[in-house]
Amino acid sequence: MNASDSLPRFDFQLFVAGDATNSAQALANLRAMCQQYAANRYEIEVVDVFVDPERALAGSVFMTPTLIKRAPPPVRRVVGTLADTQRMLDVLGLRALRA
Amino acid sequence: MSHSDAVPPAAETEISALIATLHATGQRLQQLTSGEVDTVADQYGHTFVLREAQVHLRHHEAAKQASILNALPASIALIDTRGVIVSVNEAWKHFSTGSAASAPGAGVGSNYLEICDRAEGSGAAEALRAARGVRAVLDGTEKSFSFQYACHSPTRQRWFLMTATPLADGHTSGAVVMHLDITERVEIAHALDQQRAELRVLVDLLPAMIWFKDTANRILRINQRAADAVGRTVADIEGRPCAEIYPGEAADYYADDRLVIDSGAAKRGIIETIRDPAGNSRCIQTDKVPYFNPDGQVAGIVVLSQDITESRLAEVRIRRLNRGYLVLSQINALIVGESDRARLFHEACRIAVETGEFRRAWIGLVDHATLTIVPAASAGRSSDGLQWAGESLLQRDDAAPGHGPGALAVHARQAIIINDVAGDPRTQNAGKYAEAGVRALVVLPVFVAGDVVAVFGLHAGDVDYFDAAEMDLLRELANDIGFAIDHIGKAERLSYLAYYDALTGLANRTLFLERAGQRLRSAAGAGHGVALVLIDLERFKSINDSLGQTAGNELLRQVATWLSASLQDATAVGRVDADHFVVMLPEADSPGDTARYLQKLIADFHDQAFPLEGAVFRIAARFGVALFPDDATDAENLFRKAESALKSAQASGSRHAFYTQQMTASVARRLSLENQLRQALDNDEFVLHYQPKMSAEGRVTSAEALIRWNDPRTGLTLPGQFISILEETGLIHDVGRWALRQAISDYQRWRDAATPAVRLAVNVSPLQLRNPDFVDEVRQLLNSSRNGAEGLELEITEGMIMADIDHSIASLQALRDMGVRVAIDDFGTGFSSLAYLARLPVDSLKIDRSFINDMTQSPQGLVLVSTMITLAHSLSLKVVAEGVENPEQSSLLRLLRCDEVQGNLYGEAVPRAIFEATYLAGAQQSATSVPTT
Repeated sequence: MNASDSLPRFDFQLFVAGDATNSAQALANLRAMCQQYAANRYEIEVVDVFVDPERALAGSVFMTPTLIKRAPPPVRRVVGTLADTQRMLDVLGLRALRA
Repeated sequence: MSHSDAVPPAAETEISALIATLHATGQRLQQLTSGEVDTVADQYGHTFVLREAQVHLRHHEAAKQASILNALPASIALIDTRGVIVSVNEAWKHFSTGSAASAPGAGVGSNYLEICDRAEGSGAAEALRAARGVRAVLDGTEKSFSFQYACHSPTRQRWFLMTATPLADGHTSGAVVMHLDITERVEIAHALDQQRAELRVLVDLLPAMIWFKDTANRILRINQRAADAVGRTVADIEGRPCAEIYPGEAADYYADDRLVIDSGAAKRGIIETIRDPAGNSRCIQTDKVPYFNPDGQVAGIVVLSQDITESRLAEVRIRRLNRGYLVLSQINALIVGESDRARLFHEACRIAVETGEFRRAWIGLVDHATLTIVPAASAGRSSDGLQWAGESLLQRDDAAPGHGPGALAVHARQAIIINDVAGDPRTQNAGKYAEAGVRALVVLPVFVAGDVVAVFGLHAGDVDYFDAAEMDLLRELANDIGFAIDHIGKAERLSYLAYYDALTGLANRTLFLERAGQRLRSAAGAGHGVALVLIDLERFKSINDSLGQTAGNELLRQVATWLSASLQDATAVGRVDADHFVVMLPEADSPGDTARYLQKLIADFHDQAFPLEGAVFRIAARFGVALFPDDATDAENLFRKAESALKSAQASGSRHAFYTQQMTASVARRLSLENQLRQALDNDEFVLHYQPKMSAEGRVTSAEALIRWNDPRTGLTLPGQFISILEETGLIHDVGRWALRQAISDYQRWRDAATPAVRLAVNVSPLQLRNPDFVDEVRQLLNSSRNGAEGLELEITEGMIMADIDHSIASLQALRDMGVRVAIDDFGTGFSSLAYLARLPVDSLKIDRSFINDMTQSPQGLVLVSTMITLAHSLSLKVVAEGVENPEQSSLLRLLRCDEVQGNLYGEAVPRAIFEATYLAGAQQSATSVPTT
């Protein structure tokens, strides 16, 4: 079954503030959703603004945690803990692609 | 509150205001972001951490840090760039090695570097080093620093690892200092090293070669011994492929490896022969055992090889020694049972070859007289070329010792060991030995009472066969052989003693009687008699008592010697008792011989003076005689009879006695007769009587002179009684001469007195005739008488003449040439050869009385006489008939024309005076004085 070949791959970039509470939560929620809805088809890059503040600036990220969905298009930007899973699925386009 | 100068008081108000602003800002942001945001930033990148996140981060960070730090087993301190301890973990708080580097008791706020710098005492060096390293990390010179140090307590050895790593945040903002107790790790490492070292020692110590190989046949480990065996170092070999180190290995060697690896089962006991670096051949026994990794797979094989060359050699040696001991014990068993020297030697050699597996064993006896080694026995497989290496050994004196190991062994009086025949100059015939497969040999001298009496030689098929252990064994064997020879010699001496009298060396009773038996048998065959004489030395005991036993023994030895010399045969003498000897007299043709020997023996013994202790002794002895075959026919009985005779001699007081009384008497008589006869001639006891011989007409033509002896005791004795004695004693010559002289003298007297004389016929004994001087003697006698030859006739018996014809003819011829007449007496009783008869220079034949007697008894008798007369006449010989007793015979004889007759009819033999008166007076009247022919 090569269904996964035709399915898109997700590329997320999550800006965090170390392991501050919200950042940590956001990361955890993102992971859970990916695992559930896009297993083996996702990539999460975590950028710590304490460590790489320039990147945050470059990406015009002014708040943490901020999630950027870089792929598949469209690019989306979400700030917050990503706790509202249902809404997130829609926003991130994960729902329709449950495998 | 008062602050440092850094904050002037005026600013304090502004600070408070700003804080209030910040606080309000923060609250507002919190609201704007629904509490889900941690940080915000402006387009310039200025980040502001919202309050909750701040708190969280602050706490969280610290907590995380602390828990991380506390979880670590190490003691950790965070220090800032100045060295001040900013935070520590729990372990640090309790940490103390006693070394300053661990900054015991130093807590947050202390300056670690300063503590280290100030360190004194035993840990000072470490502390300084630590400080130096930390500083390097802090100022960026080093990326990190670590070192190990030891800090031992009295009870324990401890090691520590100290590290310093920078706290970097773009630039070094501090460092993490860590001390970790690595004692356990160090101890383990030490233990491991120790074990490894022990293992190596053990592995190198083992008397074996060991390889650890992996499944690809690479040598992982090798011990020293194995490395030495190929002449390389351990380091050189470990890690290399096996084929590289052992290029010559056979294919099946690797097949073995493969088998072990594949099957996981060990292969043990592989035997092979290799050459070591020195080129010597070695025997190797190998075991190949797989070893397994933790998963149970075969990880490789352990190969263990042992050089069993020595143990093999030892085995061979032991087997050989065992063989040697077996030979020793078998030969010893042999020695106990064997009493024959030749058999002993042969058996000993055979045992040495069969049990001892020697190629050859031989024994030679040393003959010191001829200086040679005489082969006595040999056994073996090697060729005949070596059969008697002993034979060619000639041993000369010390100036030129003989060749060969045997001679050397005798000279040197010790074993000659040649362990490499091919290379030793002492071996002769080296080629022959090689042919026979003999590569080593030994010759041992055999001693008896300190002299080398024999040599014992052994050949072996291996070089260096005769090592120390073997030689010990062989020397023991030679000793045993020497003992056996001595023992047999002693036994032989004992058996000598069984037969010989030790003191005199004469045969003892047992041996003497044995010999006597043999002599009797041979005498019986020849028809001779033997006399056995037992001699008792009288008063020997008194000599013993007065002079002592030594003198007595010496006397006995002298008597023994004298007897042996006297009989000219030591084997005819024996000693049967302390003072009794026994002899066998030479075989006697006649009893007279025996008597004579005895007489001589007794007389000589009586006369013999034995020198003893400066004086001379004459020994009286008594003799007991027994005769074979008269008294007994076997030695034992003969001896007993002699004993009995001795007793009777002792009883009667005589010097000697025969067993048979008659013998004694007759011999005594005979002996006395002999003595008397010896004196008879001197005493003029002999006398001639004459018996007339008549012609056919009755005229006295001649007379036969017959000798008579006037025995003073018994009176006139006829010749039959004494002639034989005269002959035996040799007196016959003197008496015979006397008779001739007398007859010639009587005749001469008649001629001188011009009375009628007749020729006198004198009997001649064979002994006289045999005497070469006889003819000359007769001539001498005749020379002293003018008319001697005319009056002399010699009567010689027929048998005597025929016994030696040629001599007789010559003598007779010479006698006749002198004018003496010769008559053949007792004709017809001898064994005449008629041819010779014709040649004999004789004048007449006297027919024996037996024929005259038979003449009238039968026609043959008459014919015989008639024939004899005719024969005589035809040979121109006169005939005289003897023993005419009656007229009948007389008339017959006249008829037969016998020339002369003699006998009792005509007259007996009478003394001269009577003869003259009876026959010559009458003749004077009726006859001329001219003698008849």
